[in-house]
Amino acid sequence: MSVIRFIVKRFIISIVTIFLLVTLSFFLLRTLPGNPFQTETLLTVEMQEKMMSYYGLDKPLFEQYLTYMQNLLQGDLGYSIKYRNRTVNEIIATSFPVSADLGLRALAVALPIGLFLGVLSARKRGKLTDYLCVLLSVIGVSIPSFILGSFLQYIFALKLQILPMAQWQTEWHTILPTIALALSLLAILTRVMRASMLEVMSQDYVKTAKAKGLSEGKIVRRHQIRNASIPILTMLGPMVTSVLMGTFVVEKIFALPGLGQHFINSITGLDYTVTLGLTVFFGIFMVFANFLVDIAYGIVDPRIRLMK
Amino acid sequence: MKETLLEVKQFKFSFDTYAGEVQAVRNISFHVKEGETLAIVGESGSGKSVAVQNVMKLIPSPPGRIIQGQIIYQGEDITHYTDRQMEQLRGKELSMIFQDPMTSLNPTMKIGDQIIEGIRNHEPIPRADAVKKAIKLLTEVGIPDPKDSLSRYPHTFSGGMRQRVMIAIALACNPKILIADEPTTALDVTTQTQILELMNDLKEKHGTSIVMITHDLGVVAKMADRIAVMYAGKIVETGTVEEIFYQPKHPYTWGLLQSIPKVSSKRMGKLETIPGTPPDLIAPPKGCGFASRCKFCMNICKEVEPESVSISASQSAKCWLLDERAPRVEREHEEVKKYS
Ligand SMILES: Nc1ncnc2c1ncn2[C@@H]1O[C@H](COP(=O)(O)OP(=O)(O)O)[C@@H](O)[C@H]1O
Ligand code: SF4
Ligand SMILES: [Mg+2]
Repeated sequence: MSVIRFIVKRFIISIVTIFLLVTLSFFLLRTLPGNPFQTETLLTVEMQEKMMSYYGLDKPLFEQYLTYMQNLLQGDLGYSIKYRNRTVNEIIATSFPVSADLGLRALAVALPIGLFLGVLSARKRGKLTDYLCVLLSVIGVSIPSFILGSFLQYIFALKLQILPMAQWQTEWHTILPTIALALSLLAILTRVMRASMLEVMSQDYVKTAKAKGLSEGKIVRRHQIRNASIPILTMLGPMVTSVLMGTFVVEKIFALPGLGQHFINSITGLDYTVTLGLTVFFGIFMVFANFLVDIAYGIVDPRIRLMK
Repeated sequence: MKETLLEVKQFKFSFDTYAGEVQAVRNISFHVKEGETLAIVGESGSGKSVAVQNVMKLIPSPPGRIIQGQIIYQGEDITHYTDRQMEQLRGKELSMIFQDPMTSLNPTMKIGDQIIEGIRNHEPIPRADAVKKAIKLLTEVGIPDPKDSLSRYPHTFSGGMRQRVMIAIALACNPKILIADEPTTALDVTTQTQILELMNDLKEKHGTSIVMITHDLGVVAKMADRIAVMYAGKIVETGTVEEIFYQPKHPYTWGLLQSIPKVSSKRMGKLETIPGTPPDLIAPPKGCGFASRCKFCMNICKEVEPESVSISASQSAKCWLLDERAPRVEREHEEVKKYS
């Protein structure tokens, strides 16, 4: 019974969250100065106004909002203002797969390695291995991805010439961007897992397990890793969302046709519909990811399960 | 004559910290015989936990470090056993339950699994048999609905019930010695009594020796055969329960006896504690550790450490008052009433 209720409750909360998100974004966007056609210097003010009315942007704001919401309910995110003749749905449908592909690859690399290094580092606390892991995670967190990306291109594409420089075509093309994106994820995961493991290792129940006569290996496997993963689960929702939604910098450096560019370009270009559409998409994705995380959370940690 | 199971000899143990070497246990000796209950009593921080956790080698090194001494279990010197060797003893020969039953069970694991993993770690029996054994254990420690309880998580039990589960885990492989580190401190008074009675019953039934740690002498009156009083990393007095309760020799033991809550007394509700604080274990005093708090402190006490003086075959104490040249002092307060 409680599982169904939990799901229904979460669903309603999600709908309300997304509704608020869209509404707020809609009105906030319009407070930005200027209009979408200003930047195109060839257009006279008269022409600009014509365009505005063509897109319905001259109507009262609230009316525009109602229209937008009506379309949204039917899954229609509208036309892009900048890319003539392209709907926002089309933009997402072509760009998202690229971003998601890259994101999944990066996660598939970063998750196992990050967790492994976190556990290793905590178990070898204060030893050389630990320092190396900490060093790697500091480097991973502090090197901006555009520097790492360019560096990888320089070494592997330009100097060694063993991997393609950019583009998204064959498996070979995916290697460098995956590394560029994965390193920072890996670094964060290593750091969180290390801290979490250290905390778990000092818990009383670990002493109980040791007092039972369990070997170190069994204690780590049965009692420590599972409990230490709980904080990782919490951060996984936002992490997966932001990674799959595309990262502007990495996609830019490797000239990938992903979603990341549209986030930035649509805001600087005041392409309202694209910005809003992406926000909605992002919001739904995030809500869904967090929902999955919560379910996983309940499976791993029975204390949570009962409270909901 | 009962066999001596465990013997700790002239044992010193320190922690290396940034502030310096914390001398948590400073040369202690004690032993445990078959089927008896030894209570180790002392204020918080006196080194009781460090002393007994060392018997099972539960303290990681670093920061912990054995400075000197021996731990002998059934005639075998286990002081420098490797982790591999200790795993054979832990849970099977020596078991331990801890102070806080809220934190000493793994919150994400069913209690059945927590019991069964202990059993199967030492006995290669099929899971179904281990389950049966776990049910039997839970019944024995007084958990209602033992079969259903197997699949429950620790947070669904009360503190007292969790401590019963801990006892079940500890007794799973019929250990010869059960070490209980303040097993009732975190529980309310009624539950406390129940748990102590349970431990007593199980001890009678299985003939397990118990090392009972507590800061409350009242707790041990009913249970213990012998008592060791610890202060600032040393055992300052040891003897049978009768000796410690009726003819205590050390001023610190006197202080502890006065801090037992007495239900019948007029002073009920007003606990007397010994004024002052224990010494710093990074730079312990060279004389008697209790000197700064002792009403009877003499010049020599601050300068030279008192030797252990035998009072009977079973009782001894470390205090300059026992020296023949010292003035004779009497315990100030009323005779302590019989507790059991
Ligand atoms: N991991 C540790 N690092 C440094 N000092 C410690 C550590 N564990 C215990 N100690 C010190 O050892 C002394 C004895 O502690 P403990 O045996 O836990 O006392 P008790 O169990 O009698 O309350 C205390 O002074 C405590 O601060
Ligand atoms: S040796 Fe001296 S200071 Fe220490 S307990 Fe005895 S009388 Fe007190
Ligand atoms: Mg303690």
